[in-house]
Amino acid sequence: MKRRRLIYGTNALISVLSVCGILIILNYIVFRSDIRIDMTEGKLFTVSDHTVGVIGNIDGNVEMLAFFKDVGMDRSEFQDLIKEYTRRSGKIKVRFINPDKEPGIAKKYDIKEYGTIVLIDGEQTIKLRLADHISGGILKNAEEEITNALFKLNRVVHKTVYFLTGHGERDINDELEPEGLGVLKAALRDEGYDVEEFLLLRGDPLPGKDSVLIVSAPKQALSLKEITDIKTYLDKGGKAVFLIEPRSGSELVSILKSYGLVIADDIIIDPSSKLEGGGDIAPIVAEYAHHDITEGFRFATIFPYSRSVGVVEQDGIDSAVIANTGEYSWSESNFELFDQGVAQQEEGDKKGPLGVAAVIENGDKSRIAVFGSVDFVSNIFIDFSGNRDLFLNTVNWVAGDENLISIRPRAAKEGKLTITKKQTNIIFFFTVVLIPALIFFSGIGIWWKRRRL
Amino acid sequence: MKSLYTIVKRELRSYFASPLAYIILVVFQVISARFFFLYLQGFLQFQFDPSYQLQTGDLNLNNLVVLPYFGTISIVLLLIVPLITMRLIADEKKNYTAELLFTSPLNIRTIVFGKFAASLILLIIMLLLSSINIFVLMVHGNPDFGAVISGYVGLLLLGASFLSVGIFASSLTENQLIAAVISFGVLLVLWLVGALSDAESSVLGYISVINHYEDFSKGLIELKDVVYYLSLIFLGLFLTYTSLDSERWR
Repeated sequence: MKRRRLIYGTNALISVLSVCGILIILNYIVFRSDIRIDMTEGKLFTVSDHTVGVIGNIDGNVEMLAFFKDVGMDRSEFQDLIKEYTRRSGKIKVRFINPDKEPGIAKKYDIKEYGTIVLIDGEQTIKLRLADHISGGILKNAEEEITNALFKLNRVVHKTVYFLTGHGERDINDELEPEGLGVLKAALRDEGYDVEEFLLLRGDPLPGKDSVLIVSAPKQALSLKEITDIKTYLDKGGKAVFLIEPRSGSELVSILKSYGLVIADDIIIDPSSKLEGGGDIAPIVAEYAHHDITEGFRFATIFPYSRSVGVVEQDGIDSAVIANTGEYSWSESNFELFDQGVAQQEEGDKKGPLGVAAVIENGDKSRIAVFGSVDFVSNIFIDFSGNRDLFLNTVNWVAGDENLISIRPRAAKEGKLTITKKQTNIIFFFTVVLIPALIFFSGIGIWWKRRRL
Repeated sequence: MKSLYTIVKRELRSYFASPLAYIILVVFQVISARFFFLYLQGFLQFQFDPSYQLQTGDLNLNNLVVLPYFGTISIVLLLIVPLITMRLIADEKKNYTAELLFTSPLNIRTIVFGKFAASLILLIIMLLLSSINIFVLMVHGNPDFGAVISGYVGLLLLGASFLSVGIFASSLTENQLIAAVISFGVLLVLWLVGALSDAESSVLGYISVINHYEDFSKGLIELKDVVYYLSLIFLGLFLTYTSLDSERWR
């Protein structure tokens, strides 16, 4: 009897263990396969064909460092999204890092906020800030950002941003002083650009292909030769961004005029921005014209010490003012009064809205952007609200990198409920009271009937 | 097949002949519908509150009503399923009908599966009842139907795995209360084990019964989640079979 039990017992144990083993193996295989059906109407968990194409073309291995807190909506939303990337390409590896627990690596990549990711391919890195502070999750266009970053990493030729030097321009290596442009340089690097200084005085021609020239508030006038060189560069299809402060760069103003970019000799005064925390001479911009650069842009920007810029229509040139100050601002051209601090809005002064940024596209050739301020991207102001993003969007557009790939943001559909208070009460009565009561009494009825049988 | 049908019919009759099934259905409906209304009222408040829309941007019926509603149902199932399954086998043992049943020409597999199927039908009735609320939402609003369907597939699989664990617990004892406590305890451990570890990546996270449900509720049906639940259901039923089979030689 005992022997029989032992045999049966052993058999049962073996069969249970083997069933468990088979189930574990099965689950392990399936866990790796990652087959899924996206049931949502908006296909919220499926990446676009563009993304699939870009992922399919990745050459090297891309490491993605994702700096998130251990838990949070931003992390789970990012996980949902990135899962789609990793399951379609074995070349993308994601590593989650809690910057609080691993401050060393966060410092190495200069991570300042949660929800930042760094894409690394060999020497090159691109940093993306995906946190959406409004919703607590990640940006709605996160897929577009990530895919474009992968595309940039993967392209053979890297674009270079050249900062003109030699005339007392803002220092791009200065990350400490308020007026330096060191933070901007880092931001451009994070965007996938190589950043270099360029001394035109040396006589080297400006590199035309795959580059963007940035002229950031030269204090001294450019020589005639330099002016000619820049003009030749632009005429040949060069791409450039000019940051011209009030009371400077008159020789640049005249070149730009020939392309339809009008830079007034004034300073914008905006008393209303004082209320928002800026001073009188730091107009806040909340209105943007419809343009590729400003599409979907919803942040305010601040333009300290700015002059007004505008455009005049010219044949063959598409021009647009992309950012405007508020209606309470005005253009002050009497610098004498301004210096005495007594400037007042007078009859003749042009009233807001005034343009602070304008762009032109000369057919298929050059693209030029002009800002009437340089302080807005200086170390002290670049992180104000949307300043950084507006400038980077502009550089991307000038470089021809705007909408490298434009992807519809993944948004769940807006919910709506048209229901009156009375209807709510009826439904409440129906589902919370009536249905349970029906079940209850029919139960009692049946039970009672059976009891009597 | 016919014998399976007989078992299912017998079990269902015994469910609905006693007050248990009705009490379960009433409790389930009252709790889930009450919570549904809380979420619905919350949504209506947000809908008329511009500051909320400014803060989050999104006003989404699925995120604000359907998702928490399904979350509530899953918790109610955790509490109620042990009550549905507790008597399935324990009761037979106590009343000495087990021996009759297991020595009958019916296959043990058929018996176990029949009992499971009967409890599954009760679960489906519960879920159908809960869908009345979703129907209200469909009439007056625009929830994402695909996500609702996937949420229900998830709830069905989750509930079925609870049932399977419960039946196994019921086969271990002849005391209904002990059976309910065992199955509730096991389910609670399977539920909470995910909290100990990061989802997905670790073994503990994978074992967690609720981690696999999350994707369903968002509108995503993943093969690994389906396979996990089917494995759990199969394992529970297999263990029940083994446990009953062992009584022949113990």
